[in-house]
Amino acid sequence: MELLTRADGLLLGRSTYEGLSAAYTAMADEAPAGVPAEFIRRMNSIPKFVASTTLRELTWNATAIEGDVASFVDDLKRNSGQNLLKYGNGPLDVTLMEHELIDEFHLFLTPVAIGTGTHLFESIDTAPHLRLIDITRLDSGVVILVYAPT
Amino acid sequence: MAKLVEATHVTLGGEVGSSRTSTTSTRSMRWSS
Repeated sequence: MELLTRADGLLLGRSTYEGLSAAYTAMADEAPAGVPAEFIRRMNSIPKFVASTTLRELTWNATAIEGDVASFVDDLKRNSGQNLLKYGNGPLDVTLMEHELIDEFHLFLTPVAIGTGTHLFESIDTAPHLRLIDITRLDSGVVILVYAPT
Repeated sequence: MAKLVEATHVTLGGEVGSSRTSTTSTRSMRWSS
């Protein structure tokens, strides 16, 4: 919740936008157990910026990024002073990491033994070095690891 | 300069995007923080 509160906007890829917009729009009508209404309201109201080569007409307070994504994000950070929170993993990561635009990675390491499917940093072959800057252990067994590029 | 933070739920096996993972992790968050 803290990350979401501190952010001025969400940065999303197309697939994540489509999934989250549908899910949180539905949650506005009926919140699932254990997810606070405040979180759902913030997810629905915060401005979103979506990197997509196909989507143009967006809902959910979202704007499609036109032109070069890296330049757009760099401008938001540098000139508009907007703190951005990015959810989801995919092709957008490659662009952002190639341009060294991600300042922190917050990994919510969850004690679930699944190894199939899409993997973190799957499309990244540049092997950037990261340093651990914070670690939080939750009673649930989730460990929050915060890394920053070196 | 402002920051870009990436937040990701990840399993012990390094998998991301699983609904089981995100649901488990989301429900265990410290919502007051």
